[in-house]
Amino acid sequence: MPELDPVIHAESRLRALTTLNEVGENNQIAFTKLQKMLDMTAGNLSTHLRKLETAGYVEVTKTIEGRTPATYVGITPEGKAAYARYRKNLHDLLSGLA
Amino acid sequence: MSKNETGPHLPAAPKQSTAHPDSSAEELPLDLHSALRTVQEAERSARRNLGGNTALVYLLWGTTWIIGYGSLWGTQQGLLELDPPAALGVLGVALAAATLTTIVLFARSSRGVRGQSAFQGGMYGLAWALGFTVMAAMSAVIGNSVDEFWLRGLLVNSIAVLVVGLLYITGGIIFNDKAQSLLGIWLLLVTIAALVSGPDFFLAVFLFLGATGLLAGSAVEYLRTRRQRNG
Repeated sequence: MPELDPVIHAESRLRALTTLNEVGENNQIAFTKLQKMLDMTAGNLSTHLRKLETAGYVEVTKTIEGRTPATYVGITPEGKAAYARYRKNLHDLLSGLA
Repeated sequence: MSKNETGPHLPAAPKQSTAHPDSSAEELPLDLHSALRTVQEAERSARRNLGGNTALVYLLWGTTWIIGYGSLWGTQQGLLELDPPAALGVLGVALAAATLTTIVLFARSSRGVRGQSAFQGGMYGLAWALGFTVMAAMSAVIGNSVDEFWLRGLLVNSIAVLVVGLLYITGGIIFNDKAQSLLGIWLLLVTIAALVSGPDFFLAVFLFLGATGLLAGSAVEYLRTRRQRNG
């Protein structure tokens, strides 16, 4: 029986990682844009991203754009692999239910 | 895995807003169907936000071609009471407005993303700008060398559509968008047809075949996006 990764298998983190997977492994998205797309509070998104970051699934980069600090988030190769594994396991489990 | 996680229908996520209190890092476990729905909705939302509105862009350009080439063709056929230079002005203004709108639309969707796709988008945008700069220079040379108004129009517009067709094919390759590449191929075929049909008929070819191709591309993109949104 395949297992679902508990780090990913929570609604907010699943939405965040799905979005970052769409952004792509070689790209990063501004924290503010990601927050707007996910309709989450900054604090809530930070908390979930920290969990994903601790697992090595996302990389958070702080930078300065002009004179303004900016934070960018991107999926790591490990995150992409874990997400693909999660999707396959989810599909296998749902197929088993049918 | 708990029975709760595999159950078919746990309460779905809130419909209006998914914003949670800042402290709620721990959430209720998702059942499998809710997880699949969450994935599909997040994918659709991301594509909508990151991909731009291609259907709108094709519709904009299809309409621009109808207005611009329609004015010139109507003038050439005596259907409109416009001087050829005035009709050319209508095409120029329509093209400028469409270009500006396209730049704004793509800039909005690509803002806030950096990395490979930003590089690809930036270089692709530069290719459009340089392609049309070269075309403008070439048009000036053609304008000074060719006296006949409609032959000049045939040459200048064929070069412009050649650039557009090649860049659509390239865009399709870069962004893995088969429909865009096919539209590029169609526009190159339209250019061949325009050149073969000559100064008297090329405007009808661009108006009826070129604009139709763009509007068909818009319809295909619209239906594809709607299908994705509806899952």
